[in-house]
Amino acid sequence: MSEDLQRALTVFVSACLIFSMLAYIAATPQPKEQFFQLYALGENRMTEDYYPNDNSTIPLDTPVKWFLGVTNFMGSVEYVIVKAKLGSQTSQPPNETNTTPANLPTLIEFRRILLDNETWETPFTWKIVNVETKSETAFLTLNINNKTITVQDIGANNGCNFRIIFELWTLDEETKNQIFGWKTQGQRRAAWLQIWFNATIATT
Amino acid sequence: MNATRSAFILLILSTLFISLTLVSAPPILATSEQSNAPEEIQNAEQQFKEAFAAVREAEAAGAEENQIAALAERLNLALNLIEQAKRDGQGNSSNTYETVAQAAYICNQLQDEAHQLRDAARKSSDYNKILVFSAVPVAALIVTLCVHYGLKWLRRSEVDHVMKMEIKEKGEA
Repeated sequence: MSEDLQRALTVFVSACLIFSMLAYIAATPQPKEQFFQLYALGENRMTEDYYPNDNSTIPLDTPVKWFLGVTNFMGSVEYVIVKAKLGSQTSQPPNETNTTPANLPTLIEFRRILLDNETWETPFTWKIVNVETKSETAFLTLNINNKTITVQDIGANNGCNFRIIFELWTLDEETKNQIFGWKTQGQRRAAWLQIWFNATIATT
Repeated sequence: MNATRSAFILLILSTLFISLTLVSAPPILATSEQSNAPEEIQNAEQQFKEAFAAVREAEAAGAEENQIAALAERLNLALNLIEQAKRDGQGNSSNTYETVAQAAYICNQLQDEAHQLRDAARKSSDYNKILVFSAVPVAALIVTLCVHYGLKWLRRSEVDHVMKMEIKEKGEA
């Protein structure tokens, strides 16, 4: 075999190997970090003005306006559910480590199909329409997005330190059930947030 | 004569029975419709989940973004209809049926379209892969030829350079 042919064969085989690798990289989607972003904004769509007159003690029938937002960075179309729950200071919040949701009644939930990289925002307007006091513990009746809900299980001492918890749930592809958080590369992740407030109790 | 009378009485009785059945039919149907409403909603939700899974399959197969966006928009429409049916379910049941039926229809359509899209995307993706991998030996051959003739040209230019050299005396320069 001539020296030229030997060299040509070496170059050809090497080029084949390099181009095959490049083709494989081009044909295989690159793994990227998969996550959701969950946020709540104040009435001016900023991270401020969460309470009327900047006072976290909410009087009766005073509307409070927030905006809830979710961004999908999962790399695929996703079915998301945002659940709003009412809690007090003694309520157990969701656990990110065990990915267990808060064991609290769901006030309202929002469902949406989100494309990859899509952000979805929805208004969350609520007010306290009634406060029932039983031995210094206040129980609330809320009106959220024109839906009135009485929460009899959750009360707060003197109406202090209530919180609204927002949890992000998704539809699990394997079980076709709703799960708290989402699955990514065999692991469970969760996103939730909470906003504290006090309820004004009418004094006689 | 007795047989005729019995036949006549039997005829009257059967007519009465049939008319009673017909008269009582609508309330029975209405009751059964009301009790089936949550079941219908559950069915629609199941169809929605299947449609969603089909859209995800189409996306994973490599369908174009704008096509997936169009399907997602209609999925959201079906989702809103199911939510509306759940709200109406507490009140007017005929509205609920219409809404649920509409949602189910959209989901069925979506599922079919998503499957078609998935198949088309898979085909296109397979063609692309074949094209990319079959381009490998062609590209390698082009590189080999370039290297071969490039080296040849370099060698010739070196020889030409040597051939063009002139012998000069030391003092001439």
